[in-house]
Amino acid sequence: MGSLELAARIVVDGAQAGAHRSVRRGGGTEFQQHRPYHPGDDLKYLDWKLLARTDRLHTRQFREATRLDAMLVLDTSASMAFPETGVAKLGYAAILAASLARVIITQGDACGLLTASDGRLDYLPARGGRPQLRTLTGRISALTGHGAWDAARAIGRGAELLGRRGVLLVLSDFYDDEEGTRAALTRAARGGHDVAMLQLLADAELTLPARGEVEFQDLESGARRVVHARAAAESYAAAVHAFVTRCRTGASRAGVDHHLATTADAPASVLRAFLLRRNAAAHAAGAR
Amino acid sequence: MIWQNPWAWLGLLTLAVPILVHLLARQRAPRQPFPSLRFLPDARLLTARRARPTDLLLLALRLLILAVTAAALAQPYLLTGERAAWQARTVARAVVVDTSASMGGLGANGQAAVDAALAEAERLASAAGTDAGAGAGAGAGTGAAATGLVIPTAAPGAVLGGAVAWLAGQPGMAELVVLSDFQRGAVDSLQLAGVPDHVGLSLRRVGAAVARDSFVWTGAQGELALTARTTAAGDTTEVAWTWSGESGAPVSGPVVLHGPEEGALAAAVRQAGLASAPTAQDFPLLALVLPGYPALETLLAEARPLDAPWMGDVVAALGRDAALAAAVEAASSAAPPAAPAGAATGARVPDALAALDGLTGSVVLTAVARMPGGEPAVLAAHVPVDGTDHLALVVLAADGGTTAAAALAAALQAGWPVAAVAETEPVTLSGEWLERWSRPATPPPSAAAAVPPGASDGRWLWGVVLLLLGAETLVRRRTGTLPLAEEAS
Repeated sequence: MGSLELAARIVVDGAQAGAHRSVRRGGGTEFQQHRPYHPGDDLKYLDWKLLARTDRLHTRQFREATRLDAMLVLDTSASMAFPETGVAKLGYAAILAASLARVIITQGDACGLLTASDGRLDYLPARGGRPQLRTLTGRISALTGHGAWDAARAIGRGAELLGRRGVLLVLSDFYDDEEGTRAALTRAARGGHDVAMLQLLADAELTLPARGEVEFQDLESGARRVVHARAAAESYAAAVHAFVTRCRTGASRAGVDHHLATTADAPASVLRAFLLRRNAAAHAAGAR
Repeated sequence: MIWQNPWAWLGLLTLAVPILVHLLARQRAPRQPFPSLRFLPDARLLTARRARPTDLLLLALRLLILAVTAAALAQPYLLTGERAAWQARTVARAVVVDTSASMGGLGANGQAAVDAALAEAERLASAAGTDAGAGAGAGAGTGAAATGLVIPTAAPGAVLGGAVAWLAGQPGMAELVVLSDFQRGAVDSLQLAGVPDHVGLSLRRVGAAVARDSFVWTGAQGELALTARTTAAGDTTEVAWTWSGESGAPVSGPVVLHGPEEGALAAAVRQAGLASAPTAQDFPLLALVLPGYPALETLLAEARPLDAPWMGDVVAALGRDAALAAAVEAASSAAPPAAPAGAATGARVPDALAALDGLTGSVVLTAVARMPGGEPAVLAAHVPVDGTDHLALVVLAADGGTTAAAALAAALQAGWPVAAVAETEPVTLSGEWLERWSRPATPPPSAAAAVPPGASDGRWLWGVVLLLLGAETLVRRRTGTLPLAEEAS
């Protein structure tokens, strides 16, 4: 068992997320609820007994028992390699991705992986089973942060590869092409996918911990800029906060679940909060 | 405020170092990889500040550290009222004690004058706060001697410069005390003029109770017996010399041997030589032979080497005499006068030398002065004149008598026992002169000279430097700045 697999198990155990339930409802085998009959509904789901008792037409709804396909889209650009010391965003994302894959696969669903860097897409189809989990974990643990990534292309490609409606989980800092990323996420959500964006940032990105004059070098473009860290800290923090707010707002408008995590947060807590939030959203959607 | 080491202010030049470092440090800002520059302010915003130094507080602290360090090295001395009062009552005193022979006489208490002077000097030098002025009677300053120095010397006037130099290195005011019998010549106005105005002068007469107005000194110079009788005559002293040979009979001289045509020349030479040696009226056993002396051959035929010590002393002195050298130098370019027929001299010098060589047959003549070309201008020989051995100076230079006069004057002055006779000087400097030369000590014009040795208020500034260093470290840690040396590198 690799270190990442072990870490994912620990994280999952710590999260105690419970079994994942499919958010899709329809003609499965497990009764879920009644709803008023609408013209065009399949008559085989009409509850005749209830009609006899109440003279009202109700259709029975069942929880779908089909396998859920999930696709992890992981940003492996150079910016994810930050910070150079301590836990990098990519390392943190790897732990979360492996944990999510474990949660998904261990409850009988399928999980795939798509990474993108320097225009190259690496794709692992969504499958279930422990061999897939080991393959996924191995792929994830071998990832290194380098180059730039085309977020819109990766998200779009991930949505395409899912085929039928599935879950698209995007782990990234979402620095690149803000508008394009938002558009791709929106398209994926409108395509019927359950889309969630896990935005990962390092603490040093939220505030500028450096002092004095610092020459910052962009990890992806190599561009440099000399900044007086103390003087720029306030405006920088405000700009990052505004960026995160834009991401959250954009995600909300597109029907995309947005979750922000920093490398200082415990992965188990982040995973638990993420799953609970999605379960709550699923229940809310089911109640509607 | 007194700065004892003002050169240390040159250290302020180092202020340029932190300024340059702070100006240039911006261009060497530490590089830090960062995920994205999109949220960082545009670098152009810093362009306006690029020309200004970074971390003004840190720079100010560093400049202060250097400035205060320079000030501390300059050794400040704050002249407070208390310290000024200390200076006013502190006097460094150099006491010059005349220990010449004339101070050997007994004073009124039966103690030798020099002993009394030394005791008084010790008292003055060691007195601290108890005496109210070394030379109150002579107008000296008052105060306690912070430091004192006793300088015993037989020539008080000659050591005044050294005493002043020592006083210049002492704190407080300075006073120079001279204890002497103040014979004429002990100190003079020219020597006293070299004493700075702020140095107090106290000239105190410490001498024999009974002033002698005459003195007889006897001595010997080689085989000659010499007697000098000094007599006070008003404000001058007359000295009468008497020389006697082995027979005890008085001798007189010098003898000028000349040719028949040289009578006037001989008189002029004798007059000029004697005028140049005013006290040598009776110098014995010296024969000056002018170029036209007809019996020169006979004289030199009986010449002997210079076998008397005093003759050697005289000849050695002639070789060092500047006036004689100048006269020979002038004679070398002068045209030779017409020489009498048959004279050994008056011809060209080489001819005269050849004639002399033929006469003596041996090297018995000593050249005491030579022309620039090396030819002898004056020869010395031990020859009998009128049956008595004389030191004969044979003048070869044909310059009309200038060289002869210079040779005579130099010979009359050579070996003269001036120092011994000077101690018999009965005439002393008057009390009026001593009073006129005396003056009280005043604060030195350079206040730094009044600072006690090792006294400096720089230690407080060093404390300030330490505090500033601590503040600089705190500010540097707070701002994450490197130490100055690392920034510079």
